[in-house]
Amino acid sequence: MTLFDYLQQPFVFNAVLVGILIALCSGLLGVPLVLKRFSFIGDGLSHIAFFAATIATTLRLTQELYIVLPATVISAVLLLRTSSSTKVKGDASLAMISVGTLAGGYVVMNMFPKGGNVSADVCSTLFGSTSILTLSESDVILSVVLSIVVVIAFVFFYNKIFAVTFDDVFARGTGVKANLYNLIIATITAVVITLAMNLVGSLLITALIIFPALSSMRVFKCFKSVTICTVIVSVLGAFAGLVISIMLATPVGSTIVVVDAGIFFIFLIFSLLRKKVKT
Amino acid sequence: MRKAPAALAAIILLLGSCSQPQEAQVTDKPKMMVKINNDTKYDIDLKDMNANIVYATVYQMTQQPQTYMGMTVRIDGLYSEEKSDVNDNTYHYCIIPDAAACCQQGIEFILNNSSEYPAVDTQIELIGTFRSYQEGPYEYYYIDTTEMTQL
Repeated sequence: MTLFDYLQQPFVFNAVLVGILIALCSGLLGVPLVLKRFSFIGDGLSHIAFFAATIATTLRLTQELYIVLPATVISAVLLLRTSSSTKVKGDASLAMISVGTLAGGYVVMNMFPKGGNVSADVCSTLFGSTSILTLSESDVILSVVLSIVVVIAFVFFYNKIFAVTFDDVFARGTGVKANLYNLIIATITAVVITLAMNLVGSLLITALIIFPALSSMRVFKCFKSVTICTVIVSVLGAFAGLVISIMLATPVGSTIVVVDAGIFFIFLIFSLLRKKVKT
Repeated sequence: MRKAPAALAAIILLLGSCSQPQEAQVTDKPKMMVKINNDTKYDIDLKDMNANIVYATVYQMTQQPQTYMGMTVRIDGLYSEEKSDVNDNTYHYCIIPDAAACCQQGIEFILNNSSEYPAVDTQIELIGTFRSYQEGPYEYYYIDTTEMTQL
C-alpha cells in the first residue's frame, strides 16, 4: 500500500493534521524555552501531566483534560516563576517534581489499572507508540482549536515574548509587564505539552521542543529567523517521522525524535563546514 | 491588556471541559467511505497492512462502529476466548497487537457456519462482515465470519 492509500483513512489523516499542528506549536515554544534555559521544563511538565492523567483515569473521568490541563498550567506557572527567593532552585525543583510525579503516576497506574495490560498503557502514554493514530473526533477538534489559540497568542504577543525571553530585567525596566508575559509563556507551554503527549508521549516531549530550536540556532542568529526555521524544521521533522512510522510500522513518537535528531546533526555539520569555509 | 491572558486562559480551560466523552458512538450518522486498498475485494483488508495501522483500524472500528457497519473485513490475529460469569456464554475474539506488541486490540467474531473454534493463541485469518447484535441493554459489535483459516 502507498502512503496515499493510508492517508485516505480518516484516522491517519487526522494523525498527520494534529501531528503537524502540534509540531508547529512546539516549534514556536521551543525558541523562548531554550533561550530562557528551560529546556527541561517539557520533561517536568509532561511527567506532571502523566501523573494527572493517571489520577483522572482512577477517578473514571470520561475526559482526562478536566484534570490534566489545569494541573499542567498551574505547574507551569509555578515552575517558570521560580526565583532567587525559593529554597529549592530551578533545576532542582524541576528534577524533584519530574521524577516524583513519574514514579507516582506509575504507582497509581499499577494500583488502579485502566485495563488488564498496564504495560500497554505505559508504553502508549510514555512513548506515544500509537496514541496519535487512535484520536477521537473530539480530541482532533480540541487539538486543532488549542493549536490555533497558541499560534494566535504567539503572533499577537511576539514582541513582548521576545523582550522577556532575552532580558527579563530590562523588559521590566522599560515598563513591559514581564510577569504577565511569563504567565502567557507558561500557559502556552502547558497547553503544548498536554497536546504533544499524544504525539510523542511523556518521555520524549523535550526532544520535540528542543531539537528543532537547537538545529536552527546552528545556522541562524536572528530571533525571527531562528523562530521561522524552527517551525519549518519541527513541522517537516514531525511529518517525516509520521510518514516513516506509518510505512515501516515503527513507534510514532520515537521515530519523530530520531528524525529530529538526524536533522540536528545535519545542521550541525552544515554549520561546522560553513565555519571552516569562512576561515 | 490584563484581560487578554485571562481570556486566553479561560478559553483554554473552557475548551478542555467541552470535549465529548470517548465512548463508542452509536448514532444514525451515514457511513463514511473508508474503503482501504482499492485492489482488494474486501472493504477493509487488513492482511497486508503494517501492524500499527491494523491496530489503529481495529481500534477505530470499536470506537466508531457505525462508520464500518456492514463492511466486509479480512483480518488476521490471535484467537482468544472468554467465558462469561454472568450468562455462561463463550465469546470469541481476534486479538491484534501493534508493531511493538505492547498494545493490543481485540474484536469479537462469530462463525456463521458449523466450524469449530481453534485452540487459544492460534494465528487465524477471518473473512466476514462487520455487524452488531443486542444483548441485554447493550449493543455489541462483531465480525460475522464466513471463513476462518488457521495460519
